[in-house]
Amino acid sequence: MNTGELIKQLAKNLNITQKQARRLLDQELDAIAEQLSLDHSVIIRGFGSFSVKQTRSQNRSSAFKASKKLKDQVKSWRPE
Amino acid sequence: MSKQHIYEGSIRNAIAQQSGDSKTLLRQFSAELFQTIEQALLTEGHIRLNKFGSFSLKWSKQRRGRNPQTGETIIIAAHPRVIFTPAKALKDKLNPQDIAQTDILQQEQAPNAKDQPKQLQLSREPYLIKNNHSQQKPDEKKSIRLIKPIAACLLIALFVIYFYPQQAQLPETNISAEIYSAPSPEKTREALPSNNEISFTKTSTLEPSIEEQQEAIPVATEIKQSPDKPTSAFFTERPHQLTDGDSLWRLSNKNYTNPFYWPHIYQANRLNIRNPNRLFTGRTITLPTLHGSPDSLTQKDKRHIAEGYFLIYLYQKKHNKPFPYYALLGASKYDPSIIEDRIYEIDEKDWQNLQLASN
Repeated sequence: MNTGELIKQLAKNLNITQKQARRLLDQELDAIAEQLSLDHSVIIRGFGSFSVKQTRSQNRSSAFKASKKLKDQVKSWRPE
Repeated sequence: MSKQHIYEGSIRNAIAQQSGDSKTLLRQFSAELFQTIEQALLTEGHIRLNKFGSFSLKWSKQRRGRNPQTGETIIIAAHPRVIFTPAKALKDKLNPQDIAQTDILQQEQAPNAKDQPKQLQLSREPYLIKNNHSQQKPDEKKSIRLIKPIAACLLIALFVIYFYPQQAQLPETNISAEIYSAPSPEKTREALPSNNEISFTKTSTLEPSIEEQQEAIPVATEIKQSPDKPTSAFFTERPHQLTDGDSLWRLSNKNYTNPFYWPHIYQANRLNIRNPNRLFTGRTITLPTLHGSPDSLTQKDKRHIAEGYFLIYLYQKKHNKPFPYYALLGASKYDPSIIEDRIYEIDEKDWQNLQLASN
């Protein structure tokens, strides 16, 4: 799935326009990215947490840790 | 910059303030968003969010691992893992030196009508997020960490004050004294014009350090045998198995109520204990009889303790420890005759120091 498909589905499920959905999505991801850029970790309950880690090349990168709930949810998944 | 944990709720509040969207809508939206991501992961195993990153599932094979607490080997079953790969835009945001470049790029692309959100992102002020609960915790922990040593020091100080009057007259001769900053011979000689003052200064300088040493050792477990209460002797001889945390000083304090009688035990076990500072758990030593009460020792007890102190002197002399004559002071305190009896074992230098100290 890519962003376009995600926006379509979100708009459909929430009864909002696609334009609105795109704006909300960008806002949300933007806010998360901004907190990460301040070196904070962002915790989303039931989904996981984003944190900043220092990579060896002196650059900072984002790490994601799935929450227990998400891990349980995807447990049934099997690779093809 | 302090590391904080930001929860989605506070992010939502900040967004609501900034954009004027209703909080209910934002809550519904983010719930739906993450649910959709989850669903997409389950159905397709992959989802890419533009300018943020992509989530994917990766199959992790069964492997061997260790329980970090017990070190026990366990088998971790095969399971899917959620992998997040940050997009280049996100990485650039995290690395400020690259931000200037991305800004230029975004401004170049800005004329496109579709890129309205990007313009928003550039023009708006940063989200202000209030987070109260994560910053106070480390401070509390720090203060607790500080209180512990202070409390320990206070306890030691109280302990010292409590024992001070009882042992004030006794020159303390602990072998491990050299570890601590023992007074130099010249200083002690200057500071010792009379007999009483000698012992006073020495106990005062040495006792706290010894106390600390004892405190540092883990507390000995309770002695299983209950002490007998004979009619004649204060303490009758019995064996004692050394446990973790035992020291002669402690055993003496426990059984004879006076830690300065520890050479009494040393003398009784002189064949088993080579270094009185190093005892071995599991070995059995004898706690010798104390005939008189701790306050009024019999002549036999005094002689025995004096011999113990003399043994310490010999040990210190043999191992070139500083100020061995301190032990002689202890010996002469309990039984002055021992010095004359065994004068052939005393070094001339120590003899002179002893004379200086006792005159």
